[in-house]
Amino acid sequence: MVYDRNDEANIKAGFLYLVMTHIGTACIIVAFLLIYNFSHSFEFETMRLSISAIPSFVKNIIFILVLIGFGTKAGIIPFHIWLPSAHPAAPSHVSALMSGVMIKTGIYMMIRIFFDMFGSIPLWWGIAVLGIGSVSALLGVLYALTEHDIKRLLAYHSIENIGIILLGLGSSLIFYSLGNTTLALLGLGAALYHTLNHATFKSLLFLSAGSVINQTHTRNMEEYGGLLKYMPRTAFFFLIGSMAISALPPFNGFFSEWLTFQALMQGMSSPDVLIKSMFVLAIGALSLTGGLALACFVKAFGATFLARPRSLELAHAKDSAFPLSLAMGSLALCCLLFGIFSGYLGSIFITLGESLHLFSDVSPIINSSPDHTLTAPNGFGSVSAPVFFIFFVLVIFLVMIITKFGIYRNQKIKNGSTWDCGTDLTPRMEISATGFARSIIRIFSGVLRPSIQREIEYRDSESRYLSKKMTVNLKMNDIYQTYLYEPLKKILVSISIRTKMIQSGNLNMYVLYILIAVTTALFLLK
Amino acid sequence: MITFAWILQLIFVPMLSPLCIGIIRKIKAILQNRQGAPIVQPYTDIWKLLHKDEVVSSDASWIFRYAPFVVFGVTILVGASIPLFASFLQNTLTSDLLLIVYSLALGTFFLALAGMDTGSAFGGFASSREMTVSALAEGGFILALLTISLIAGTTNLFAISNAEILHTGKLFLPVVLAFTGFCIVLLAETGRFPFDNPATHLELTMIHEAMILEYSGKRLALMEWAAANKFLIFAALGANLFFPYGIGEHPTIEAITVGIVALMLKTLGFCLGIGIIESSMAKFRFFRLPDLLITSVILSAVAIGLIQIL
Amino acid sequence: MDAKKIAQYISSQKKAKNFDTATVFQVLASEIKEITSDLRDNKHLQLKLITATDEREENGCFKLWYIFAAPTEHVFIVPYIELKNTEEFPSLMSSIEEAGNYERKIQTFFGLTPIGHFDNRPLILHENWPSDLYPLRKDFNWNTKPEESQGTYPFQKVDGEGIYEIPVGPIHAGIIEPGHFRFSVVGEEIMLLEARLGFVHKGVEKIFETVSPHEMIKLSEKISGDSSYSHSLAFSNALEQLSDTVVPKRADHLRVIYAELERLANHFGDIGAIMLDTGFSFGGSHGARLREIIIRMEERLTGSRFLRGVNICGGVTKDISSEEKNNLITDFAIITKDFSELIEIAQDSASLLNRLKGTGVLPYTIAQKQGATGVAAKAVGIAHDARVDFPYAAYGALHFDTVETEQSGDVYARFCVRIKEVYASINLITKALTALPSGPICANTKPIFKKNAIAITLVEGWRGDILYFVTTDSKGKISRVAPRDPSWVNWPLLEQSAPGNIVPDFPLINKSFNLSYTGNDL
Repeated sequence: MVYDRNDEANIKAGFLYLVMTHIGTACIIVAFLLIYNFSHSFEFETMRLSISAIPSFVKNIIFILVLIGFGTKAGIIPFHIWLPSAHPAAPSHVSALMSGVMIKTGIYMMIRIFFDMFGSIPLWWGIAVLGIGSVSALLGVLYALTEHDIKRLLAYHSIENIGIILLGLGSSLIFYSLGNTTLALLGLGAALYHTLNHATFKSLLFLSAGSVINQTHTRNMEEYGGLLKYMPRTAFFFLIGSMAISALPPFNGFFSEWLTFQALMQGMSSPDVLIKSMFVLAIGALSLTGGLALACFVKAFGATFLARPRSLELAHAKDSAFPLSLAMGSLALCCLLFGIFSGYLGSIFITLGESLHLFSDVSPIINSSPDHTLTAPNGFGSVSAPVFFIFFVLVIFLVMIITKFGIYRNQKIKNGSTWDCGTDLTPRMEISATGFARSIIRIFSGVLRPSIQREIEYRDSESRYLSKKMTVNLKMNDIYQTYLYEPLKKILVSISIRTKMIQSGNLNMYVLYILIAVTTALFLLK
Repeated sequence: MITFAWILQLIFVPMLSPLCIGIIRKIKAILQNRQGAPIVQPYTDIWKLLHKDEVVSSDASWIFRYAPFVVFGVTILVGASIPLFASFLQNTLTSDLLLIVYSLALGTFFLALAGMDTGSAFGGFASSREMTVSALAEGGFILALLTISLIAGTTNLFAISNAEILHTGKLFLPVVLAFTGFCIVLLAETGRFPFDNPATHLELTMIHEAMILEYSGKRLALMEWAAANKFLIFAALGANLFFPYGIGEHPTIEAITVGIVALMLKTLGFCLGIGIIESSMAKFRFFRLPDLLITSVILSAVAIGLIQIL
Repeated sequence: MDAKKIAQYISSQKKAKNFDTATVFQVLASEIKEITSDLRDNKHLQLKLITATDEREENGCFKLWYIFAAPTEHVFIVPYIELKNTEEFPSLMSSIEEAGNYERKIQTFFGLTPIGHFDNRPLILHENWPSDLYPLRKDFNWNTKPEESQGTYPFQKVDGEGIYEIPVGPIHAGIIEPGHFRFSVVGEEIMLLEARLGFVHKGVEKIFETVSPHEMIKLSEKISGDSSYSHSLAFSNALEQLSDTVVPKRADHLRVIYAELERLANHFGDIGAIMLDTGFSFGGSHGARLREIIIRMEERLTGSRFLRGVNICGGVTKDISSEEKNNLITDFAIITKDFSELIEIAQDSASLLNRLKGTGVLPYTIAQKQGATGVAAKAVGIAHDARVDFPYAAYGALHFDTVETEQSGDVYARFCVRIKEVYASINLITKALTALPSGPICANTKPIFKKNAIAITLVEGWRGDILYFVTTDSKGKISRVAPRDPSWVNWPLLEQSAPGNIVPDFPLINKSFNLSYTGNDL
């Protein structure tokens, strides 16, 4: 991560990453130590066997510690702050890996511990995970909308997708504690499927974004524009990635979100008011997230690749080299294939869950003869990706053929300039990435806290006629920074100042400290 | 008979959607003491546009050139995948609720990209507005349809319109609540009052019209036609999911005829409602629209809550 | 004219020359700044126009006229400066903000440089016009066709990341006049609006130098189509002053009736159009319907839908018969009822009021500083109305003395001012019809103009006050006509009331001002 040592922002990002992962690691270590206290072994097998001996109070603590620890690694809100600053600092291929694999380790370990180690799940665990998932998904995409740094934008989308994965996991935990293993498997399968999908499309997006950054030497989307003409292949792959991450059929993102939706929908029919409302909220969050993600990727793709270039340097941009194109192409193909074969993949992931400890005593319930349709249990719904795909391609093809050859064959198509109302268009007259998302930001101003600062310099101190210079600064107040991390930092600093008293510099005092520490340790060991 | 029904199903939406637009315009004209254009005017407009030469901006890319086919194609696909006049047709492959919602989003995605592609300020802000409205409408849309699918116990749209419980009129209150929420979404997604003014000439206030500002000839025809299709799709969803009375349940000519007449009558109801709204109230200020969309989410959420209690 | 009252405005050392409604006196270029700020800030006079005349042939100088209005005394105080052997004059910008645009216009058309002005961009004339060719100088022949020149016009720019510009016009989607608006926006929020006009410049002031007085009246009717009558009335008044023509009483009353009809027609149109721009098409179509009723009434009475060819020097050409008079009175009873029903429905529509209230607020201080006039001024509570302040025609005789005002300065306030003025106009018309004296409708004398004279007239058109400044030369020929449409004064106000609003609300704000492009571009 601290790849480029000379950049101060990089070092800061690296440090933040270090601190946050350390906090996460500390939580994880404490969690494992607590388990060790009962299992006396770090073997997963042994830990699993002795887990039932742990009192539920301690189990809850372990759950919280694991959630915070691996949540930090996965980038859940509010422990996400390292992620958006880490991605832009890292080179793009590292980002692709980080997003595709590294943050997934957090998810992997959560599944490993919750589903493979514990034998019983209290209801509130699932509800907590579902809540965190909703918040992460929604806030992740909202923060992504505020960004015009393309890598930070993608980083925030990782948070959003981790949220969606957690929605699947959370619903699975809830269903399990309610005793409905079929649905628990559905939720888990959705989460696993989405994990795979996220790895493919996010890597694709990071690689193509990296290619753009490489050619333009900036991460600022406000300076892009019109790149589709210079980098057609990259643009095409980015478009596929955008459609996949926005859950547009027939790409893979849609089908894992479909499974997640199905799991959440089944939860809505629960008789318990609390659980039901949790699921309604989760569905609301997920559908809003879907809509906002769509808006965000219209912004990202539009501002980067469409319209006219906003700076002259873009004219030198060249398309990605062949090996990179090949890599992106195969990822794009994966996005499509993982979608089209969703029927098979979905059932694979659902049956995959059955091998976990939690489902060990459950006989296979889900129809394990996979075909091209993705089906939810109880006949709640089904969707066939290949049929949709063929239908879709066929319809568009037919429409094109008919309009081209069926009606008025000798139509002439003339090239003209964009409608300019009789003036000359400049690059300043294209909508900016910030401008595109501004309305949504204003609508969600309660969460995002945008501020706007106008500075006007007049020609004359008396006269308000014609400003000499007018500057508008847009800012976003990070609520975690102000309400969580800043107070935390203050407390830490004040504690540090208090504890400084101990550090008197007197050797005798230090000897005394050692003595006290040793006696306490001896006493405790006894 | 089934094959016949499927063919009818496939061409139904594109064939009749311009008529709906013509009817709305006529109703508005009558309500505003004008004579108005003939009801078939949208057909002649589309026909005229299909026979015109085109001007394409030199700044535009292939997105602009191909978007109309995708946008139009999506409406054909969705139009064929939802229950229109016959619920006896079984489609477990493409008529899932979420697939429909996200396919429509696919159309919106390309529409918005096409709006941005020519680099015109109008297209840019129109895309921004469209995405803002449709992002917020999505929650209400999904929740309203989910209410129904929860009642019917399935997310397959044909199965929903076939569901016994909806025909008996039980759970009337949640259905009406969700339907109200759905109507708000309908107005938002089809670019109607109080969200958008399809008849305005003020480019600064436009949403849909400014996005397709750069189109001409065949592509404009497709875009206009797609917008009309989208309206009929939403009207059919509202008519057949919430109140599936009259829909053809058996593969007979009579049932299909009754189904078509019922659908057209219900669609006429939508047209009348829209005509009245567009003549009698002012368009909302842009930043008041979210309140309306949140209302639609809340209505559906309440409806979901009521399902069990009742 | 009461000499004593005027004396308070003019320092005793100055030699003042009195005309019908104006008192002019020469000051030195070095004093002008001080004197004008004293008149405006301490004596609370309103600056109505700054313009120039090219008198190099006769007097060897350019003259700059600073026309101030003293409403309580019904008189214009006009200091002027002479520019001999110099093409520079001191700018008043730093003390009187509203002077800025007048000075820019003088610079563009006369080639006189305002020293100390911040903004030397040409006004009205565009880049295709050679920058060293000054059309209002007498040595410029009106039918000269200069080579097309190239240039750029720097717009104001807002710095900051994510700011982009929306250019609108001069060619619009609807059938409206051409004007270019440049918005600098953050998403939907307007940060800065700059309007650029001049697309319908047709050289009116130059043409006035070339045509006969009879044709001049016709020309004045063409300045702004919707204010045809008020413009020709103001110009006819000026000609009558210059020739000492006495207008018959009946003509004065008829002039009131016609002028108020014009106001009614336009206010009905605007009230409808404001509602239509919010999408409230019910109100929109009824506004248009009411306007059409009045316009047809105008056609019935005068043969012209826009009351053209009605005013001549000395009176009017069209009379109202007694039969028609009774018809009109009953018609207006119906129209009043019709209109109040429409307004009742509008006032009950929550969605309409929500769009109107709080939109496009014009701050009082800015309105005051920029010398706002007409509906825009009345909507912030500035109670100026030429009909009350400088009564012309029969307004004095009819005891018209109330100015309809509102306080909030938003679109709703401008909407309400129009509504109130509609009722007032209908009242006035009925009053004038009942009080219509008998007699001729036109003076029977051939006008002969005084030599070396000036005339200043002010008429309250439906947008605001229309001013005509007319001078004659030593042969008694009209040498300069400088019309000033209210739009000229109010355009900068529109720019000021847009920031802070959102882009889709701008058409509504624009409509609530409804300024004339052609009246501004002349």
